[in-house]
Amino acid sequence: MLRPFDYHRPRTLDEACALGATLADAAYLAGGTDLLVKIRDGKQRARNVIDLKRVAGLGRVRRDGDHLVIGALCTITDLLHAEEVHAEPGLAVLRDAGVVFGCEEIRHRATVCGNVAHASPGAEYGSPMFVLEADCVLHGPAGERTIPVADFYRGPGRSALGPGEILKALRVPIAPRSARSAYLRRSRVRGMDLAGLNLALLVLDATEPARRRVRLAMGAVAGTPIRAPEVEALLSGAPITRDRLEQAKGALSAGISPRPTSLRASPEYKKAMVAHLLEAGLERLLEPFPEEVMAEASP
Amino acid sequence: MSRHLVTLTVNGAPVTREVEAHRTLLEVLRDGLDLIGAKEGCGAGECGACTVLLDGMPVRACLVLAVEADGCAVATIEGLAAARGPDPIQQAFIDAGATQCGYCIPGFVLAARALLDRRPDPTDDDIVRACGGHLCRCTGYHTLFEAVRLAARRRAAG
Amino acid sequence: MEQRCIGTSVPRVDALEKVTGEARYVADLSFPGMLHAKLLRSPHAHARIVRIEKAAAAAMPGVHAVATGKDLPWWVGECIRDQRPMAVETARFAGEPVAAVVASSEDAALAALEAIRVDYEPLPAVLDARAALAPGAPLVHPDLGTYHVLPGFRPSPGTNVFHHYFVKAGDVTKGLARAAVVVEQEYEFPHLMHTALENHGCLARYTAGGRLEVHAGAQSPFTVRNVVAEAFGLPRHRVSVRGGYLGGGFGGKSDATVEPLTCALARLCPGRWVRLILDREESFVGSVLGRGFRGRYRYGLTRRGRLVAADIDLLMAGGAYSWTAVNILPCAGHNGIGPYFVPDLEIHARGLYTNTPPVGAYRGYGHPDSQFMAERHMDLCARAVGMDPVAFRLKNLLGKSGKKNPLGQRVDSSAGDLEGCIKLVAQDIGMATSPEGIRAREAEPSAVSRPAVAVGRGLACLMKSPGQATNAFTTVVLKFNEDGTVHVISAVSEMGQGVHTAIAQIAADLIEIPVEKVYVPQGTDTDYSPYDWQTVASRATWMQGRAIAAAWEKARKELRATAAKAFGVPVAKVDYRRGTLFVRGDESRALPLEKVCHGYVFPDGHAVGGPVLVAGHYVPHATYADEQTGRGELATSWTFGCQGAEVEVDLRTGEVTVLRFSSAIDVGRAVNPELAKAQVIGAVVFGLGGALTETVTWGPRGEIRNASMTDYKVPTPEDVRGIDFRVHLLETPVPGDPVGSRCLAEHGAVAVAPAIANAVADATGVDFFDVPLAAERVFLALQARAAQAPSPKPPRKAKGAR
Repeated sequence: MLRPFDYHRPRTLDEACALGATLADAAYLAGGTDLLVKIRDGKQRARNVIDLKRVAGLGRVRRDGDHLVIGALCTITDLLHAEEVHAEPGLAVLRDAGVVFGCEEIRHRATVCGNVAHASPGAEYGSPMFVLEADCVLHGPAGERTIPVADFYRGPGRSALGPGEILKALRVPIAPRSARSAYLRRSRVRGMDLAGLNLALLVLDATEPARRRVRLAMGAVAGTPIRAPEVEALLSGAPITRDRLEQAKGALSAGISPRPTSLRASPEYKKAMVAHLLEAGLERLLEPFPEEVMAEASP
Repeated sequence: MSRHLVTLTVNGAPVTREVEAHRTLLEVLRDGLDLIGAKEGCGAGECGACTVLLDGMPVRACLVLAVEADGCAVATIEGLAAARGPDPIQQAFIDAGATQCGYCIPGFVLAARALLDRRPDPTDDDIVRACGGHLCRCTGYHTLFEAVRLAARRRAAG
Repeated sequence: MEQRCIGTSVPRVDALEKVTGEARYVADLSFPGMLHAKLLRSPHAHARIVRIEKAAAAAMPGVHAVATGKDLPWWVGECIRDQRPMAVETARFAGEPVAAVVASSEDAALAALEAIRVDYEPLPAVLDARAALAPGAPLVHPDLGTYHVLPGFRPSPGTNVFHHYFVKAGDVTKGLARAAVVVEQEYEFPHLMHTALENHGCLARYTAGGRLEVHAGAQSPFTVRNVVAEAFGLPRHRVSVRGGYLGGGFGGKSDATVEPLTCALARLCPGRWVRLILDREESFVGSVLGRGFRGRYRYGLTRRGRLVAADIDLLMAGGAYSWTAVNILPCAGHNGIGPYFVPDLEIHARGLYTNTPPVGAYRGYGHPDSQFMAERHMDLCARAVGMDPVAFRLKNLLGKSGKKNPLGQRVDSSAGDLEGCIKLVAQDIGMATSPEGIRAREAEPSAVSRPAVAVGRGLACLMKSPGQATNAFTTVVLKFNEDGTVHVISAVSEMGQGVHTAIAQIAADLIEIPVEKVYVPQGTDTDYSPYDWQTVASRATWMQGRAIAAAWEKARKELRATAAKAFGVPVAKVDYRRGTLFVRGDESRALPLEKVCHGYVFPDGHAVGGPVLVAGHYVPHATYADEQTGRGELATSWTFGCQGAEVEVDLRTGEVTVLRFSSAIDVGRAVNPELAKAQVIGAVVFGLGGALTETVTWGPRGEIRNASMTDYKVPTPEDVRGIDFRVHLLETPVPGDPVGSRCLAEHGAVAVAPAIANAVADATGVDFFDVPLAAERVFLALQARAAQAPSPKPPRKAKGAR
């Protein structure tokens, strides 16, 4: 059961931000699939719940030039219906994450921005936003500011949101059509589950080894989603041979120190599986992969 | 705790109630309206027993506040059967032997209804995607899948 | 009896109510002025309750009562009366209720709960069976010696042992000494949680007249009545317990969990209904757990693969209270070698108190627990003597031999065709040893190992007998209506198994009328329903069938007697067939059932006979275990079967995918084949959860960390969609039984875990001696094995045939 609270239904963004800044123990409600569970479990004390769903101008999803703008009210289902996530290979990572997100009923309510705003390290949309280098548009009593998603996540369950600030939108760059992307994860069952760990991949200029840039981000292996610049460098700008891939996998595993208290996967398994997901992801995204990997580059 | 007047359409009939802010849609349906077909299996959106249709979309009623449903149309399992008999989807669940303890059934039937309304000729992938968040501890699922396939075939046959 | 309805798949009688949402469960009941109870639970596994301050809570709005254990001076428990409705001086498991609020709304109750202050003094806790057994271990029940204990149960005061069952045959020490080969291994089947979709709940009212009325979400309303009446010192007729539909039970609702406490709270608020419905987290920690066994198996065999000796030692971490756990021990014990003959054996099964939630009945009741170990052990033994696992089992089967089981009962092929079951399963999964079986399987496409994916096959046998009291009677009432329709009134609980449909079919065939004329009312009321011990042990269909036959005999006599008067002939000349009574030799003199079953009215108006209302009962012949040997008539019916799996193991992630799962069970007689098959598949998937993904994660303070559906993972639709299930229902009818059916409801879950573990060992060469075979555990085991053996293992055989 939910503990009692007051409910507010502002009509404008400024009203919503003012309420959030002034009311005690205020929480914003969009989809509710995270917030209400936290309130029920006593993990979040909320005496004032501010519903964003009637706020004008919050929007769902639209294309703005070379960006996809995901508004605060865009549900997972809305995102999965957006033409861009199916047409743009650089946004396939968003589609992949949506398809495994919760279940149908949850997808109809949960919002992408809400998922990011709760700042869980293993959130389905955490590592994808990191790998896409999305920007977070924050709106608060002092106005609007835009910060990179890497600055938005501060720690497990902690974000850069100040009092009365709302994650109004995510601005996601759309890579050229020569890019490829994917989201992979390990979970305990095949059906609805939280990720034990996840990996988001973006490969720019996928078919040109000399120009290729590999980006990767991992979720649920640290206090926030994280990138791996050294590993990305290893995999970029040259053919990915078997040796190079094994080196990258080893560096990726060695570079994470997950805490031992997770209920979903142990540190040993996470270390092994990031390497596996990297290889499985690259296998999926780079069609000439087998031949390329077979070619020996080292003496 | 604030109180709010909400007006919903429940199974086609308008309902107005004053509710506390923290009441879920599930609680108001069950305790306020005696529509006990939607069940609380977990209270956290994990099992599907509380599923209802909100403006035609299947949602977890345990994770929707009653106030959020103000102005919306809610369909529960009780709204499916008509005076002339069970809905064809319900009949398919009977004929496919898909009910055992019955606790997951209202949620499953509504999820199937939402699926078939959107996609009358679903693939097995579509069925699993639509019903994948519904837990059943009794049947092992195969008769449930068969019920949805049977319902689709019968609908197609007219 | 001619079986015309038995053996056909008539539709379930309760399906319509369930698909329309009309079916009511205990949480759907509501009464005017009903009060709501909420519980405060101990966060400590073991702690002295120093002080509870409840005055502030009691003063809050809407609060009718705030109770602690001290306010509820009653004892609860059958067999060993070791529990109070709430902890009194000591909390014995994390999650045990220590205080309760009864209020006019759930909100008011929860708010008041937050105002209660409890001071605890944590005590050293024992969290597993071995620690509980160790000398000097903290005692969970220091006063064990003062508890009321029924004869036949052997707690050891001054220790944590609440019962010690053992069974002996021959001389196991000599047997092992003589054996050419000895195979020893330790196993574990850790705790599981039932996770029925419906949470536990109860409503109770203590009337001004001193009667207790209860609505229980319980499998056994008469047991609830028993426990509550004994606890409060009330005569049985002042307690009425009603049961309706259950949203799943699986044993977790078979004894009493929340009912005694709800009734105790009702006594504090006389005249009002008190409602206690657990939420999901509470159903996990605050009802009962399942399983929780460790075992050490030591078998002696000849070099040619004959079992000659078995030395089995089982320990159960039974939890803080034992009365729901204690009877699992004999079942795990005497059936703990599985369906094989071993002349010299000794099996010990000890139950240990631990500071964890109490263990209770969990589908299979000790059989999956110990037979997981036995069936893994059979594969290890086969390997030790270089024999094929199918051939090894066939060589040692109990059934055909007419030899004796550990209890000293002779078991022959009339108990079931286990060999036939094994052959069908072996053929299905590609382990057939006969040429025809091999040929049949080769005609089908077969999964092959490929890089990074290993394919394997494994099977396991099962045998189960119902674990029940020697006086576990079942009764049924046949009540004939004026129009010749019949009410069949029974106290069995419907929790998904479709038992009312099966009962209707049996009654229809015995009475020789169409099944449409039979009505089995749903719901039990101990004031009106005839006594049934419990709906457990897969006993309902079998035992009700015998009781109905007994009742029908009486009814037939009465009908014939009334018809004899109507015809004016001696009773001996009256026969009954297919709804008609007639004079033998002159069939034109006939009366339909409806003219006789409510008395017969002569042309001049006078009536003879009367409404036919008869009761029949049944209990199989059973005895207690002998004090010295543990033997006796403990097993009263047999079901044998075999289950097998073909699996794929993804070597890169450890994930186990079940490709095909075959079950062959000798059901005696499938009363309703579709219902039977549905039961088996449901049970298999239930078992797959325990084998692959379900596990209780314990915290350092003895708390359950994953008491939520988010983190206790039961099988989902996606997990099973690709499995090719095969179900074979063999029929060797129970001798002398009018229907011939055997117990079935639990059995599809019994051999799942060892079949999977045997298949994974076949695929990967890695042996698991416990469950679950979750992806992470399989992967890390593969990784550990690779670290020890730097040279890569040769790939498994690609083809299906062995």
